Amino acid sequence: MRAFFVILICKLLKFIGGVIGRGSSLPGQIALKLYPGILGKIKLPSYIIAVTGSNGKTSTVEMIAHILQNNGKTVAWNREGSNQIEGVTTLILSSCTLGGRMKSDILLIESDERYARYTFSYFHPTHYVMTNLYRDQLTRNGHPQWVYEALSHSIHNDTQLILNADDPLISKFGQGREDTLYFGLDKLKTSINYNDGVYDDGIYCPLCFGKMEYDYYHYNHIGSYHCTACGFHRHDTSFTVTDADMEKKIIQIDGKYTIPLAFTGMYNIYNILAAYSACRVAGISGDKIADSIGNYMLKNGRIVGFNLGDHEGVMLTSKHENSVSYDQSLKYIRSTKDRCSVIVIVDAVSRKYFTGETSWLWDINFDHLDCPHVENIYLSGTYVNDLALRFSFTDIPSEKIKPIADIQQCVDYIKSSGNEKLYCVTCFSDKDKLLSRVETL
Amino acid sequence: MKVKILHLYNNLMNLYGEYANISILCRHLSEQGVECEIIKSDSCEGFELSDFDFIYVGSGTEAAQERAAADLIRKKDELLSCAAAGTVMLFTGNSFELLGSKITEDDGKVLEGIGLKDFETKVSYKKRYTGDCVCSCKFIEKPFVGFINKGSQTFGITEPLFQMQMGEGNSEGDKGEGFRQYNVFGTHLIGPILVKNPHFTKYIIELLTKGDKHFSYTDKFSPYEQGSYEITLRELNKRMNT
Repeated sequence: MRAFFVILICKLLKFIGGVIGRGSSLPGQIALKLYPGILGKIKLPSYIIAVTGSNGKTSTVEMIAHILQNNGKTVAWNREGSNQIEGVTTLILSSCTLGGRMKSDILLIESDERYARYTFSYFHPTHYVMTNLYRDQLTRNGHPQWVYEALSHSIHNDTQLILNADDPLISKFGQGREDTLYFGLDKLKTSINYNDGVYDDGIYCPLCFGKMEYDYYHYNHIGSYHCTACGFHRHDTSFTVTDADMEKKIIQIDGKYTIPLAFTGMYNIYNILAAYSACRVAGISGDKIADSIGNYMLKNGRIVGFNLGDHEGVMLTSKHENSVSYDQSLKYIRSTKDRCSVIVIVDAVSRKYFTGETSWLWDINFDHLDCPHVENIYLSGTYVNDLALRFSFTDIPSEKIKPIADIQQCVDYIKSSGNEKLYCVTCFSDKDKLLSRVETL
Repeated sequence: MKVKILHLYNNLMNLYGEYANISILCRHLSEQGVECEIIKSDSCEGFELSDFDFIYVGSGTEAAQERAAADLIRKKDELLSCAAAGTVMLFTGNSFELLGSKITEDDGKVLEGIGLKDFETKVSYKKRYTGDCVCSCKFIEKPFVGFINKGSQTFGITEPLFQMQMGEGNSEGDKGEGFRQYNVFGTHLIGPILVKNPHFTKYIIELLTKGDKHFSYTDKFSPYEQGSYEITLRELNKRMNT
């Protein structure tokens, strides 16, 4: 009876919240206060897929939901944000019957790395997709090893792990777990034989601290590695990108499924592969997945087209305090061919908390933008000096670098000059400061 | 004039863009007409510490700190004599804990420190102390800005380097942060603190060039560094006053 009332209250609060436009974590928060063990009382579906990791959670979850729904499955899932226990509680209680039974075929959960241990103490996912662990929001996360430690408490014996084989720290979770499945990329034409980041988090083995060697890298420390001391190495994969052609914008998975890409960024390829892996495990065939996800445009606003004067623009939403996320956006710009300019905005470091910490700028390899087709680099926002100082240590010719602190002035300046393509690289916390001043598509 | 710099544990202890401390220091030394030679190494084996004018170590994970402690202890006597002879050293983040007498890890394991000062550190995996900082020190007029990100508390420092106006001190409730002994500076401020605090870079350069009577420091205006410092301080002051 207690569960009945708590579910009812949660549903009502969710409804009211929807009407007044409030976030989706409050109803769950109140439900947990009223009945801390409520999640343990719900009859959950036979497939519970969780997704976690530093980068790609939201996009991967959106793709999994899209594929599953496209193939006739009903899915309950948490859209953008709300990935801590309160948001997950809102999701579960608002999508179950008043009798406490979930009607969906599949419960799909994006989970915050640090709080997954709390969420999954009440129930365990049947399948747990882990994308990567990078230096991410170190101002609150300490460092990737620390997040690894927190995340390890969220893994239970009755959960099957689906891991990114190309990330050494993520792969460590599979040690001693026989039923673990791995996904990864074969050596591709885009593979390189050096770490192209500013720092190298793949130098030392995450198991024994021995020296690691790589056969190839896809980007930063993601690639095919082995430890020269203990033998820890990239695991063979069950789900694999076997070929990629960035010019033709296609990838091939498992040697037979060709998937056209709406966006050729390397992280998009990993997200598609992670989604493919989860959906295969959920019983969808490879060709049906390929049909569903081909040319898929994400709806979560991570990539947004816009116009500014004669410039055709693309917002590549990246994450402040997350150098790999920036590196990926910068590498994508480098891989394009048309003449372009880039605007980088650092105004509020985070949307969730205040900090003036900008050490992470030094971990980003801005030299990716040192290429002839990048004509101007505009820097803007409160921390414009930190950006300009960081750029002064790149090899990019200084005349290309244009710091304009005020975002409106910067936008006006760009609007009145040139017609080259424009890429904006910034974070969720700052992207609307540009998008509200341009014509979005 | 030439300055020899050792960036020790440049991969091992480089969690927060610490390499930039060396980049900015060398840029300013060059601007002052001082030549720089930089050696980077993840081990202190293979060279004489006394060959260097400046030694720098940054922050690492707890596991990396353990590796660094095991390596550094082998050069304990050499490091202590360099410190006593006036070699300028900067240890930022958890590397500064290596200079005390011991570090007790979360699992109870004890790491032996260099013992430059008799302080000790306790590491915890449960609680992290993170936050922006504003602090002051006795020998430089301008306040410092930075960020602390640590999973430890340090006890037994009677003469700290900084007094904290904002941010965590050496241990809970302690307003004192870091320490100085001779020309060795230790602080839990992470990342490129020389980038963020141009007055500290200038002070380090003055220490490094003190022995050369032909040298005199020429002020060069670096608008981005000044701007970065002033805006960060302004934003943090706003924060403190609300």
